[in-house]
Amino acid sequence: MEQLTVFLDTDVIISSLLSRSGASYELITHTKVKKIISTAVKKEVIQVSKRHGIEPKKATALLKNIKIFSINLSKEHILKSYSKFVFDNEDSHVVVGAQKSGSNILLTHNTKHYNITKIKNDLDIVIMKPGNFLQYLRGREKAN
Amino acid sequence: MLQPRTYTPEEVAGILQLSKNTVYELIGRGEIVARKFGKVYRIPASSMSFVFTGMDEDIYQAQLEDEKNLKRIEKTLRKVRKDTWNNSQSF
Repeated sequence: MEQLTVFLDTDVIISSLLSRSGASYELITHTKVKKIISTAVKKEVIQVSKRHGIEPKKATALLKNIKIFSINLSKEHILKSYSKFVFDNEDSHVVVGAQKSGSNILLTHNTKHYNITKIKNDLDIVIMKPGNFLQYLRGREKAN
Repeated sequence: MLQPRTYTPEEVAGILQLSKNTVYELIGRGEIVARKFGKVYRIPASSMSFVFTGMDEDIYQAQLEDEKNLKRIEKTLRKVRKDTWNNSQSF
């Protein structure tokens, strides 16, 4: 079975750091799923973790299992080409990351922040919550 | 979302748009968890999780576990993301 690659939003990683019995932790530790984030998401993870009192080494250890890449685009370019996919400009770097990662799945807990239909139609990226993705994985595994 | 109630196999057949016999087969195979009381089956709402949530019960519970923390994560993340956006020229 082909290995799935997913791009993770910051809230998924923080959720996995806060609870080991949640869907995010199950997803992050799933060995058959390749996880990718951008350096921008990594920076957010570090800052948000700090504000939530999560031990830095815990966050660092978790990030070791995730591929990290830089999107290397100017804010101006991101605004021009990607702001149409979000309702708040500051979320647009997440959509850029998902597209540049080559993944066609973006996992976030805040699906309402993204124009899901336009992202699916224009970029062929599906946005879903970790729980929905785990369900999809289960169905896929059963079918094979 | 899930109510603490049970369903009859007939009700489940109606909800899932399956025949009654198929529901009994699924009970026999363990795909639908049911409890037999005398001669009749009752199916707990948790077995019907997929119908209501699009997720199996264990996955739905895991998603709910994450959602307990989401409000505070969201609050912090909005602030961090806004600050980063305002203070960055490239990503």
